[in-house]
Amino acid sequence: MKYERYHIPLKSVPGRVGPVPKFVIIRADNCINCGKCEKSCIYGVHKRSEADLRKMADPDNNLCKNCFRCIQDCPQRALTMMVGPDYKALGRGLWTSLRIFTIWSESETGKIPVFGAGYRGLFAGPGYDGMWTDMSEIVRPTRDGIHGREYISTSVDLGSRPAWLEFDKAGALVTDMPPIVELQVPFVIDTTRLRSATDAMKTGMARAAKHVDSLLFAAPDSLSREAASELNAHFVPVYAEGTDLRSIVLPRGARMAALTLGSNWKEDAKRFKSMYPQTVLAFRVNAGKDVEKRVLDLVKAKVDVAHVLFDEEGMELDSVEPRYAKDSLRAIHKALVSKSVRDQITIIAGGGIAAAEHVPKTLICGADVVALEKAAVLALECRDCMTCSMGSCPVNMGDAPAEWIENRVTNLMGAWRDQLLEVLGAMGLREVRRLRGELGRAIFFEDVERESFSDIEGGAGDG
Amino acid sequence: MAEAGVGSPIYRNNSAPPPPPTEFSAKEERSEGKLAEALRALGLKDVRIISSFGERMLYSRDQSEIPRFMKEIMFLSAPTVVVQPESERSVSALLKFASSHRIPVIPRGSGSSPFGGSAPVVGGMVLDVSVMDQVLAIDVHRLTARVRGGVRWADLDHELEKHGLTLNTCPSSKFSTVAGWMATGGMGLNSYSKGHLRESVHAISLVTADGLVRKMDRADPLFPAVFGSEGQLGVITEVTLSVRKKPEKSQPHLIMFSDFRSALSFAYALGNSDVRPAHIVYESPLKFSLVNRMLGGERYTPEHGIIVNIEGQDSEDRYQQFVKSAGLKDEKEYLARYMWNERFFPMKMRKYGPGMLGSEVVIPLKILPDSLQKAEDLCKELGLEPMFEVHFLSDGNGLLLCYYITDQGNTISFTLDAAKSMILTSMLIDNGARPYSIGIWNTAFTNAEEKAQLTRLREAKAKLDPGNVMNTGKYFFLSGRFGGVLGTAFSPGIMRPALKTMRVFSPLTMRLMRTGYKFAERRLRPKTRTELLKIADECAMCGACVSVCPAYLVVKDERVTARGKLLAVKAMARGQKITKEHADRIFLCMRCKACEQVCQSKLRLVDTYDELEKELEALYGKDEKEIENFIRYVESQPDFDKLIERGLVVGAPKHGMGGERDEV
Repeated sequence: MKYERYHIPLKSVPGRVGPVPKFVIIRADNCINCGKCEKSCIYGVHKRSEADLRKMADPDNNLCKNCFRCIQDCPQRALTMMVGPDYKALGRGLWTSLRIFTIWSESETGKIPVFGAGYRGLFAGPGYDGMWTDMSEIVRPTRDGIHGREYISTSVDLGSRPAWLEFDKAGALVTDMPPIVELQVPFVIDTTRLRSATDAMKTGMARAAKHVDSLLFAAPDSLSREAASELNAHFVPVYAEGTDLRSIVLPRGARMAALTLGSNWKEDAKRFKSMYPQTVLAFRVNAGKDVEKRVLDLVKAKVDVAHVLFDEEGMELDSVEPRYAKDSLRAIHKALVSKSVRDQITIIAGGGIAAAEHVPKTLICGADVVALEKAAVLALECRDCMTCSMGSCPVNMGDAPAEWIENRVTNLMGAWRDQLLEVLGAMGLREVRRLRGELGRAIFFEDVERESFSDIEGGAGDG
Repeated sequence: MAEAGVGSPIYRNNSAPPPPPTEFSAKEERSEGKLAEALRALGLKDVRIISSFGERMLYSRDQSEIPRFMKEIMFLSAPTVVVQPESERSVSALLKFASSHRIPVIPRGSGSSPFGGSAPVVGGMVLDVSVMDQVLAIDVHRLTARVRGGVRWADLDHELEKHGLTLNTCPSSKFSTVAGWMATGGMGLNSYSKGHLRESVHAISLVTADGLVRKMDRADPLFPAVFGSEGQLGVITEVTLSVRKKPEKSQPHLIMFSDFRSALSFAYALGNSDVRPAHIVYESPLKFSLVNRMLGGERYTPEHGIIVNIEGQDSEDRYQQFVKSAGLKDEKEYLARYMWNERFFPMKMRKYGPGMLGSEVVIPLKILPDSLQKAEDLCKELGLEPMFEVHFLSDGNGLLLCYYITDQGNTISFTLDAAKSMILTSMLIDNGARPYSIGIWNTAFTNAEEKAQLTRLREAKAKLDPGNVMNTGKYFFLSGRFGGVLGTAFSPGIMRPALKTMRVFSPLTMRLMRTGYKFAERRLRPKTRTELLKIADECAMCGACVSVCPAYLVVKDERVTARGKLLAVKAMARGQKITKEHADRIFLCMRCKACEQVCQSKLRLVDTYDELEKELEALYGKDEKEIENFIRYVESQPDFDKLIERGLVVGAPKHGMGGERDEV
C-alpha cells in the first residue's frame, strides 16, 4: 500500500452572493477618475468601469484588505474607508462579526485567515477567550504543521477502549474488542440542532464529511436513497428522545448511531448493544448541573460516546447557573480520570464552536472530538439573521446546490485543520490525541488573575 | 469551483496589467490646403500644423460671441492654417516662411479677449503660442520670473506660490497667457497698487517677421511699443517679469452705497488717504442682484458697492481707521470675500441671456462720475439694463467695463444689441475715454488711443514689420472680404460719425430698432433651443478649461476641451456637419471634471458631455479601442501625474484628512 499523507485538497469556492464587505470604501464626488487608485491597489478593489473606461467603477469592497494605500495615494483625497455598517450589524454574542466574516473567508479560500493590521485585542474574555494556549515551540520550523518535514496527525477514535488486553496461552486475543470509528480530523458536523437545514445541505455536508473522513450527525432518513448508499459510512443517525428502539432500522453500512438521553436510556442502551453490537453507540447529553455524574453513568452502561451539548454561546443548557463549556468539560474530564475510566468513553462537545481556535481549546479542556453546527451553516454565507426563514433568506440558502455546499464546508474544515496543525506545531505535539485534557498546555485567565492578585487587598478573590 | 452565477470572489486574480501604450495620437483628419503641405515640407519637428476644417474653425474666434453675419460675411475669419510651435527656433522659422510668402500671421495666446484681436480677418496663419507654456526660472532673491510667452497666469502663480511669491498684477482672465495680456491690455487686478504690466516687465524676446529673435529690455526704445501692440510687431516668446513676496495678509472689504456718486467719492478719498489699498473695484447694483440670483438668496443688497483689497496688517489698521472716521461700515467678511473671488469670473452672467455684450474703456477718474451718468442715461434710451464695473488704476484712470445681458440665440436682436455696444463705446470715447483694446470691433476708435502710444506703435511697426505680415489687416486699417470695402465701414472716419448720429437721434434709432426686435420676436422666437445648445450659449468661451484639460495635454487639439466641445455643439446646431474624426476626438476625455472646477459659468459640463456623446454615438459610433489607448496612455504620462498632484486645478477641494498637499 502506497503511503500517502493525509491531506485535504482545497480550492477557491466563491460565494453565491458575496459576503457583506468588512470595509467599505466611499468614493466622493470630487473623484477625478485619474486612475491612481487602480494602480495603487494590489488587491484589485479599484478598477475602471467596464462600460465606460473613462470613469472609475464602484470599489469592489469585498476585496479590500484595509491597507489604506488607495486612501493615501488619492490626489483628490476623494476616498474614505470605514468598517461597513452591514458588517458591524452582523452577528451577536459569541458569534461576532469578525468570527462570521472569518468563517466566510475560510470557506471561500480554504486558507488560514490573516489580519493585515494585526490583532489589537482584547486578549482575554469570557469562555474560551479566557484561555491562552502554549506556543513554546513556535520557533521550530521542522515542526511547522503545514509545511514542515514532520507529520502531525489529527486523527482521533470514537468509541470505548478497554483498559487492558487479555490473551490466552496461545497468544490469541480474548478481550472482546468494542467497535471503533477512526476520524482523520477531530471534528464532526451536526445538523440536528440547526434552525433550518435543507436536503441539499445534508447531502453536501455528508459529502464534505466523507471528503475529509469525518461524520455527519443528522436525523434518520436525512439522506436521499441514492446518496445514502454512498454516504452511509459517514452518516450518524440521531434518534430523538422517546424513539421506540424496536422499530428502528439502522441505515446499511452505518458505523455509529446516536440516541438521546431520556428516562429509559439504560434499557435503550442495553437493547441497542444487543441489536447492533458492532455499531458505536453515542448518547446525547445536555450539559448542565451534574453532567459529570451522568457521563459516569454512561460509562457504567457501556455507552461508547457521550455527545455533550452546549448552547450556541458555548454554555450549559440545563442549569440555573450555567457554566462555560471549558469549565463543564474540564469537570467531566476530571471526574472520568479520577475514576480511571477516561478511555472507556469518548466525549464529543457541541455548541459554541465559533472559530478554529475553539477546536484545540475544547480538546485541551477534555473533549476528544468537536461538533460543528452553526459554523457549518455560516460556511454557506449564512448572515445569521435574528429570524431565520428559507423563504426570505438573504443568501437564498434554499437554492444552494449540494456540490457547492460540499466544497465550502470542506474548505472550512481544511482551514480549521491547518490552524489546528499550527497550534500543535507551536506546542511541539505530533498528534492531536495527545492534546486531549492536556490542561498544562493552556493558561487560564482566572488562574493567572488569582495567582497575581488574590493576596492583594481589593484584588481578585481566591476564586 | 467557479460555477455560473457566483458572486465575486474575495480574492481576485490581479495579474499585472498590460503595459500602457508608449505613444498615442488621435486619428488625424485629411489635411487640407497647399499652405499646410508647404509648412509640413519645412520639416519642423516640434510644430503641430492644424489644417482640418473643424479644428481650424476654433481659431476663427475668441471669447466674444459675434453675430454671424458681422463676422462671416465681412471677414475671412477662418485661418488658412494654424500652427502650434513649441520652440522659439520654430517660431522664427515659421515667421520667416510667412514673410517670404506674404502670409498674414495672427499670434494667439489663449484667445480669451473679447475684441477679436486674435481672430483673422483675411485668413492666414494663426500662430498659437499657448503650448510654449514653461516657467523657465524663478529668482527668489531678485524677485523675478523668466517664462515662455505661452505661460498662463494661473500656472505661473501656482509655481510662484511654491517659493512664497506671487504675481504683481494679473488679468481678470487668469487663464490667459503672459504674452497675450502684454499684447492686449496690461491693466487688471492690482493695477491700482502695482501699476501697468509694463512696470513689471524687465525684458522680452520678440520674434519679428524677419525671423530674428530680438531681446529687448527697458533701455530699448521700441520696448514700450510692444505693450498693447496686439500682435502687430511680432511674437512674444519669452518674458522676464518682477514678482513679489506673497503678502502675509490679504483682506477684501465690501462697502455698499445708495448711489454711485457717493461710492465713487469714497473710493477717491480712500485713494488719496494713507491707506494705500492693493486694489479698488466699483460694482453696480445689477451685478449684486445677479449674484443673488446665482446664489439663490438675497445675500447682497443690490446697491453700489466698493470692493477694496487690503494687503498687510498696517494697511489694514489704517483702513479700519479710515472707514470708522468716515462713519461707514463694512459688509460681512464672507460677502466681501465672495465678491473679491468673483473678480476672476466677469463673464459668468452670460448664462442669464444666454449672452452678454458690452464695452470696455479706460477713463480718467475725473470724468468718471459724469460719464457713468451719461452711460446710464444712454442705456435707458437704448432699452438696456447695464452693469458697470470699474477697476481703479494707478495713473488716475479707471478701467470701465459696461456689460448688459442679451440673447445670442436670436440673430436679429443679438445683432441690434451688438450695434448698441458700439454706440455706447462711441459715447464714452467722445466724452474723453479711450478704448482698452482695439482688436476688430474697436477699430473705429483707434484714433482715440493715446497719441504717444499710437506714434510709438506706428514707428515700431515700420521698423519691425515693414512687410505688414503680423496681424495683417487690423488695428490701423481694418480689411476684410470684398477687397476690404466692408472693413472700411469700421474706419474711424466713417464709423464714428455714424455712431454719433445714431446716438444723437437715439429715440429714432430706438424706434427703428424696436421694429427690428418685433420682427425678430415674431419670426425667430419659436425656434426652439436644445438643452445642449443652451449650455453652449452659456459658455463664456474664456478658455480656462483648456489650460487644465489633461486630454488637451496629450492630444493638443482644442476640440477635446470643454470649449471645443461646446463649439462643436454650436456648429452642429447650425446644421454644420462634423467629421467622424472630429466626433471621435470629443470622446477623448478623462472625466476628471477639472473643466467644471474652473468653469466660471459653473456649467454642468460632464453631464453635457454625456448628452453630446449620446448624440454623436448615434450619428458616428464610438471608437472604444482609441478611447482605451488614450486613457492608458494619459495615465502613464508624467505630465498627467503633475497635473493631478497639484489637484488638476489650483485650489481644488481637499479631503477632510486635512493638511496641505505634499509638493511633488
